[in-house]
Amino acid sequence: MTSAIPKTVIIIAGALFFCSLPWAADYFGEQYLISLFTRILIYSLAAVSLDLLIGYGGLISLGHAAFVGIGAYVTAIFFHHSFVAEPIAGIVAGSDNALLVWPLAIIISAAFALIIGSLSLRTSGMHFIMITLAFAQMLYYFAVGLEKYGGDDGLSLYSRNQLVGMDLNNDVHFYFVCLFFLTLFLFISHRLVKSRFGLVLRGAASSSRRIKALGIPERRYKLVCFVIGGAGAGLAGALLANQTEYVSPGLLHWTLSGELMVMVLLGGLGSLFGPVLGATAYLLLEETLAMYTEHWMVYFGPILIMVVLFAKRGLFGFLTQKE
Amino acid sequence: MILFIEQLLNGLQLGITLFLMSAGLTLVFGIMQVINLAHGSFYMIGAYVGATVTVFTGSFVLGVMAALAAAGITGMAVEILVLRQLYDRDHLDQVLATFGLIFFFNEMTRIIWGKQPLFMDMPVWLKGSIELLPGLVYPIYRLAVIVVGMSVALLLWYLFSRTRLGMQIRAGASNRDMIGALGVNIKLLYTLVFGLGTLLAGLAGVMAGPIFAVESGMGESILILTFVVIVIGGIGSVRGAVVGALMVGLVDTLGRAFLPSLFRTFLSSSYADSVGASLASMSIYILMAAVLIWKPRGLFPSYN
Amino acid sequence: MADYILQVKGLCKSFGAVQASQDLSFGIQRGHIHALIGPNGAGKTTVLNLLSGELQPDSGSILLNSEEINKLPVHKRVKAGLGRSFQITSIFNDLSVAENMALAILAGRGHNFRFWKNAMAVDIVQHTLTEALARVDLSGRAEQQAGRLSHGEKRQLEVGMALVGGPQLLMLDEPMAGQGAGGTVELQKLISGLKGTTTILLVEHDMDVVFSLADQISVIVYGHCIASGSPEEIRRNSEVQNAYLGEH
Repeated sequence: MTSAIPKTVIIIAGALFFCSLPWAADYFGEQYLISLFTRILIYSLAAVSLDLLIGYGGLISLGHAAFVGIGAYVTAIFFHHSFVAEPIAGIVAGSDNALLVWPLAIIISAAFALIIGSLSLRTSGMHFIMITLAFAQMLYYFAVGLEKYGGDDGLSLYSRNQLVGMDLNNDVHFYFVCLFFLTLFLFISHRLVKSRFGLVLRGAASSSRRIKALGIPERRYKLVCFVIGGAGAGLAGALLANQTEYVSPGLLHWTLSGELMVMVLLGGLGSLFGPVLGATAYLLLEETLAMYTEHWMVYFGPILIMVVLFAKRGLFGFLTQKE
Repeated sequence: MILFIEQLLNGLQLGITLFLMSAGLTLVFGIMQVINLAHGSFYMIGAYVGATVTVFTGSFVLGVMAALAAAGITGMAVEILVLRQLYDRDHLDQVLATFGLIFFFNEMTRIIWGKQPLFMDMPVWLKGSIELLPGLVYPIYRLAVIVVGMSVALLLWYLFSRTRLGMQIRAGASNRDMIGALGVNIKLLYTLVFGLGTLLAGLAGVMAGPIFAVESGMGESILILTFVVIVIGGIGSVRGAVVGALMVGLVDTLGRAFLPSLFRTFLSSSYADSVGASLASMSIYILMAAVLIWKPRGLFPSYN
Repeated sequence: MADYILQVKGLCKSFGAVQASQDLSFGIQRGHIHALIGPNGAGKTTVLNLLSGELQPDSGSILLNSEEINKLPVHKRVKAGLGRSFQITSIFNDLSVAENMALAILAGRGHNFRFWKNAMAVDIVQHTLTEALARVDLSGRAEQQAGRLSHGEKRQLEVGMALVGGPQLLMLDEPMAGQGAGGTVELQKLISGLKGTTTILLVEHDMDVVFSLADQISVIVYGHCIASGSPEEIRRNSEVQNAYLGEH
């Protein structure tokens, strides 16, 4: 087709769009757009991290929400303890400093990803899907059981984290912080999939038998990929906790894992920028459909099935006509 | 001791519900190599239709029949309309499409039956309790669930080990290529197996109706337990489903009943309750992890 | 005394009641093209799987350079010098031809936990990729997605990938299968070009190819090696004629 748009054009257009959005929202007097698009940026980050797993590592994880949830809970728990001035478990002081808490959220999510990944990667195929799902649900029930942190009802933050030189409580500032992290993660991921590590990973996803024949122990590479994906999701979780100033076990629920997966597929599997498009389309579609009917899911379900059956390459593939 | 036996029976009852859910699903996984997330929806359909028909006709038996029919027929329709397109696709497509089915079915029940949970009455003849042992009083309905579930398990055992259809199904679950070589009408067999699986899920759903609230999304929590059962038992193995279901049912029930009091022996009571409860809700996943470390393909792996 | 690169002694492997290999023994001399022939279902692929480590023998031993490698997993055997091309083409369909080759080049060289630098810009890839592609006549196809290559080109890529690791012993599993006449000639040229530099274990149905290429031939029937020798000896061997060649 002649109308194919080069990748770089789409990426630049997207970057311009996201950079100018706050001014546009201001100009049209639609302030709620800023918080809607902040949410889109954060979900995009989580979706991109899942794309690393599914699109490049061939790891169909149905438990990615667990890492989003862990990142969010770490942020919220530290905030809560700092707010009530009581050390966590009597040992560690709480904190609302983003420079401390966000890296912690990333590290702890990554550590969980390491444990869950090393157990789950003992299997493959259908087993892997079910096991990642089951472990995520385990953490979900664990969060429900955290009476001290609100259990089922979740936990409120009374303000966003502190970040030097920024006022995160200002929605525009926070928007740009999220945009920064999404861009950073996209850049890192882009380098990653082109690197030696990425090449091996893509090879393993394409033919695991062949990669073994080349003398490469594939499981380690997949595990590292799983951990990096978990870290990205943890960061998304920390940002999400800040955006809504609230965390609940729902963040770990498997429906969120499924939704992230839908975003990846909708945007285009294994394209990194696609999932951003996918998250944007998904959340805008949800927002729009929900305006007309509260039963939007009854339409969305069949739409999803149609997309799976007939439009496998996603929006990004459709736009770029990547053959 | 009495309490322990009572909890044992509760565990058995949960195990049997899980067996009904997993027997069909493990075959679908094993034979068709399709991962189906929407299996819980048929549990939900069974519960809703069962509850509605029971109220409408006043007959629990009719309710159960209607539930079975609804779950089985919907199942076969879904197989023909959606699942059939997915057999040659990769697992990711299957996950997403069946995820879409969940969206659809959950929302559909909200449209038809509203957001409020339904409560299903037990039939009068199954109300009340009987004294099984001196001091052990147990609800008749729960006993009936155990008996029905065991009968179904026996029936399935007969179907699989003694009939021609069962042999074909087993052959297909352990060696997919063979089934074509046997000259079996694969399309029809797939539809039948899928329908049988969803019918069993519907049975589990309608039997759970009087015990739990009937609500939209009820299928998903049981679905995940079912996955744990299948992972433990091994994909495609009905025997594995029996063993896995009983293990999960017992560990979950006994853990919830006794872990908090166990912790109370060496922790302060409020702390013990919350730790015990958390740990109890995680116990089956820990069990799953343990089995996985020991046998990555489950207790009764089929050789695919 | 002949210099054996690989020796197989008394190898047995059964799948349930089926004996795929029974008391199988043969040796491959350094520098030779050694062909493995036998009727369908004789257990030739099982032998390759046992050698590469994808299957474990029930008993017997495999010696590479006089050292037992029975216990080594697949990737360790590759490191020890065994290269293999598969019977069912299983290159990385989703990667480009150049990426396939780069992966093979990088595989033998240290770990791949390098996260930042572009894999195609790594020195060793820059230095050897062009030549590795040229060796199997795929220079013009570098950017093509490997899954879209023709059947013959896939074979060429496979052989090329097995070669870049510089294996001491290259196992080729029916390289001519599914090739057109032109492809067969090309591949035959490629393989005979390797003669002397790389020892090759060739499993092949095409008898013309086998008898024109091989230095040594072993005949396998029902998992047992009934004869080993030069093409001339094999041609004259009456047992072989009865068991196998006589069928034609």
